[in-house]
Amino acid sequence: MRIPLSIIKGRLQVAASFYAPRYHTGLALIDFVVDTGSTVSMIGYGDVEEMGLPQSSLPFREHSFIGGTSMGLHTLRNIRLSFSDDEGGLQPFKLKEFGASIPSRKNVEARDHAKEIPSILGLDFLTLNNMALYCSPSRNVAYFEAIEP
Amino acid sequence: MENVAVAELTLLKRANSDLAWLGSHYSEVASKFDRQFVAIKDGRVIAANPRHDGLLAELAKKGEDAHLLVVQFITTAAQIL
Repeated sequence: MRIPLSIIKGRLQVAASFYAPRYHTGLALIDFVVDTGSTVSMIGYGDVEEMGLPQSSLPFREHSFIGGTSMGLHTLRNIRLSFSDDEGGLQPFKLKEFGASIPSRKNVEARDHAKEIPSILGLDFLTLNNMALYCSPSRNVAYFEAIEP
Repeated sequence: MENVAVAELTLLKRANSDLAWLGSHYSEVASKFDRQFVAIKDGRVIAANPRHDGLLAELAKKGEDAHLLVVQFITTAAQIL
């Protein structure tokens, strides 16, 4: 099973549908950047706002610096991310926990800058879900592939 | 197939198509909308604004749900992440 990725200006990106009834957001679309240099995955602040996630009630996990901005990493629980695969099917991933990024500083400038940072799928997502990454930029081909644990 | 799954597949099919379009047209989109948030639907930019809040307001006026669209910050600058 393979999940095709897009290569956009040199970055690997993939669309996922987000479904988590406990947060009352309904179905939502998230464009993730795949970043193997990131140890954690997270929903970016722009997506957090677009979906109307309840920011004040998300448990705080830790502080992090992303793109020069101090961000709080918070925890979403029991979400489902789904991707379309190379056969036109749906590949759902039920995740007990997932990160949500909310800026530590609440001034307009900090919030605006935070929204420039995309949602990220890091190495943790691949490890947890037994997925491998294939990337051949010169051929404009990239995908996740399920592997045996 | 349950209704949610059908809705998800439809949403993802369109989104991946729009991402592929963006990949093919990034340079022209970036030259026109550098340092702006853009919303893409069905292979075209339907709204753009230097501020994310501004984009959401524009989309709301058009009756579009931002959380169902490809929304990205566009820049001609190199991006390190």
